[in-house]
Amino acid sequence: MQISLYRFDPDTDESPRTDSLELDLPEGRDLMVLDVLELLKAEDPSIAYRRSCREGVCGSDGINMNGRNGLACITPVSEAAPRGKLTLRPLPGLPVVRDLVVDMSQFYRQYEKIKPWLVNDTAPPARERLQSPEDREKLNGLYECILCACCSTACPSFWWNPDKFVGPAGLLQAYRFLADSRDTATAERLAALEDPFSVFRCRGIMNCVSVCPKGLNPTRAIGKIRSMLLSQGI
Amino acid sequence: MHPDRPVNLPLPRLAAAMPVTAIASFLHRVTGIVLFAGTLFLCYVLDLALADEAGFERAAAIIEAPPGALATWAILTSLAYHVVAGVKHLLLDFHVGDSLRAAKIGAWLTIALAVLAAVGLAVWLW
Amino acid sequence: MVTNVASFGRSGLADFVLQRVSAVIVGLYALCLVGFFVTTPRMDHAVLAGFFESLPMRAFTTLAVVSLAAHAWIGMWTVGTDYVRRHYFGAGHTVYLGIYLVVCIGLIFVYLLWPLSVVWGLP
Repeated sequence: MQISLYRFDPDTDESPRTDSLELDLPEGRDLMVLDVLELLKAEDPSIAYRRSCREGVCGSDGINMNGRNGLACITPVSEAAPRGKLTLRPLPGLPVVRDLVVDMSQFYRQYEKIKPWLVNDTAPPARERLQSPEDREKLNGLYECILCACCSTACPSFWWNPDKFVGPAGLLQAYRFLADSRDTATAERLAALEDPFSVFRCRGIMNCVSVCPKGLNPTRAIGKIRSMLLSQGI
Repeated sequence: MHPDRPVNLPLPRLAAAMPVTAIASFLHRVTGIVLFAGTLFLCYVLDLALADEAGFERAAAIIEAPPGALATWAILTSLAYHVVAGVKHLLLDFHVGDSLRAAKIGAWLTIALAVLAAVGLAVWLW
Repeated sequence: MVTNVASFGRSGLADFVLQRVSAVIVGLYALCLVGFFVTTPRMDHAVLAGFFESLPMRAFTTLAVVSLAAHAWIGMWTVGTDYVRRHYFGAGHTVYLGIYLVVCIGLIFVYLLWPLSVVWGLP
């Protein structure tokens, strides 16, 4: 199989290069892209990428495969490269630390901005803050995010304004806490998102929904945030 | 932070892998820019046509000549696309069509309607 | 909260609402014009001037022109603040963004005054 691999070593390289590699894949079974990376690394230990759980739970191995973001461990080679040539590059829009490893600081900073924790200023009950099954239901499709950054780095609005636009991952979590019946900071959370960039830079192109390995829908959450802002503003 | 590090952002490569929903949104933007520039032409033609009979004849001649006809066609096609895409956007604001499947259908529908308008306008103008 | 001096109302929510309200107004105006052109069998100067000089049409044109100015500004400002960035334009990108925005404002000014002077200048 033909593989095109993005390489960059900050200690020796002025700028990134693309290596064309040839790899013999075992016959008769479809590997995951992460398996291909492991085979490549066995031949050249200097190749750098992040990985941990190898089953789509930890969110470490988000990379760009043939122009599309996804988790290497759960993306079959046949799906990533239907025409036979596999192109592996780091997630777009973030500074490259080395090879397929990107600096996620900007992504985490946006996540931090939306205060991803429960805020409740009432006195805590003796045991726990209860929630009705209906209210708990509202968090489905929101809490499952693994912060792999596939969505935000597939989003042009995030490429152009990574410091100002919160991005789909952060906004999905923003809505996760706005929708939580136990959270009492709704007004403050909304006020922090009301500017022209944080949430309103979303143009609804749904690149985030297209690539999310968990099948989540940040665009829908963003629409809900806008509706909340609107009803609060009127 | 690594501000001096390279950033992987090969736009043509990424654009080629983008879903139709992204293409439709980009066309919404492109047609908006065409309309913004084209409004200058529209102002000029309106000014001419409303001045007097001679001006109206000149305005009509400009629109019928190939460059003017092409500009008119581009502006009206862009208008058709921009309006349809705008309606799609308004529906999305009301949470209509916010699943990926519905958005893809909406994007194809927008493009199809605009192509229909483009062909219809071409027939009407020539 | 991201602050930026160049948004329209300095509020994303206000821009968002204005963008949509103005879109509906300009869209209806465009439909009105298309309807007029399609339903008028023979167009000449007198028919066209007669259409635009009626008071309701003058008012509608004024409303549409003002809406277009707001709509265009929000749209063009968004496009500029997306693409005119350091990655492509280097350290001086804010200067280029400034020039781009001034050109946009200039054109929008023309789009406000020109049609209004034409429509309100009719005899």
